[in-house]
Amino acid sequence: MSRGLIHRYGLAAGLVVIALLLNLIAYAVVWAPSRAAQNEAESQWRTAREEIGRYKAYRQAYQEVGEITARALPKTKLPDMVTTLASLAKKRGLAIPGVTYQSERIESSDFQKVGLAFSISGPYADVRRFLNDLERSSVFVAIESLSLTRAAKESAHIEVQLRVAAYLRNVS
Amino acid sequence: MADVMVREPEPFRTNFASGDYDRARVIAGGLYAAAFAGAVLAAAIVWWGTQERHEVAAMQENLIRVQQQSARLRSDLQSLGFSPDDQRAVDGLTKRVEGLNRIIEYKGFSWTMLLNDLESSVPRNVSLQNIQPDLKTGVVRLQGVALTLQDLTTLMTALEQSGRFTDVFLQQQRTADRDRVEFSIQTTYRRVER
Repeated sequence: MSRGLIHRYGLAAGLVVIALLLNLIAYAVVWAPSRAAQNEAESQWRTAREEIGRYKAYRQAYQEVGEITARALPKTKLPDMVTTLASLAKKRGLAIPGVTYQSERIESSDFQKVGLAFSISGPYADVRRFLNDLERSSVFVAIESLSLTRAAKESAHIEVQLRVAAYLRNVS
Repeated sequence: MADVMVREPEPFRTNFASGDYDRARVIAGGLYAAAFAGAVLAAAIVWWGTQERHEVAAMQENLIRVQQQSARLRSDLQSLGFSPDDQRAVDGLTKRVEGLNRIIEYKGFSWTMLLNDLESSVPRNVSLQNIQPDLKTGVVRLQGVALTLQDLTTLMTALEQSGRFTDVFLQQQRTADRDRVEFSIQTTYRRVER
């Protein structure tokens, strides 16, 4: 019986087995290693691209932080800040009789915050122009609060108590 | 007389094959076909594999370029004094950026614009004495004096209707000298991006 089967199908079955073996060898020797190498290369490429994206973001952030921080006045030049305030006030015909300072801690290694409290008085329009000038003077100067009072009864002048935050660059 | 029909003699046909023999031919044919298909598939696998190898080679070249670019960037950063692979340096940079953003955020608030908007909303007989905004949230606290309660109501309505102030809320009110009304209002100021 089995001899009969071998006689009938032996050659064909042998060829099928050979074809199967060829497939297995082709898969194991050629295709699978290529596929694995491609997956590996793709993974490395993705990692490198992510790294490039990250490095570019770091470079941009590092440069921008450096450039913007450099525009701030250094801590040692606080008196210059007061001079600027005085000249802005003078430009609008106002005067700053005195300034009180208060150093404040902030979460920044680059800056030191100094609170400046002072008052000015004059016509409302001039005070408003002064505030506008002050706002535009520097990125590192911000008006935190203001209180208005009429300078005198029946007077057109107002007195403004201002609290300004100045961010000064720490000098290393 | 009987009719005699004369025909051509039929050819002799015979088949000694059994039914099994026919089936065996079909099976053998199928096996040959399967072997052929298998050989074709093996050839196709080899061809695909070779193609993939070409792709891998191209990708390797690309990978080398990308890795070189990455190394250049890393070297640039290191020459700037920043180590991109040092987590402490990255955290430090993140903190610096956050600190700077907080400062710049304050500049998003314009006192000049706030005063303009208040001027157009504050009616006669009302005088503002203190303006205190929270620069982060946009909540503004206004303190002042109104001649009458009606004037105070007019102020609150005008603020709401201006479209620049929302959630106008009277926090405190008391009668002061000469029946004037001292008040404290809290409202949210809608900033306009500058």
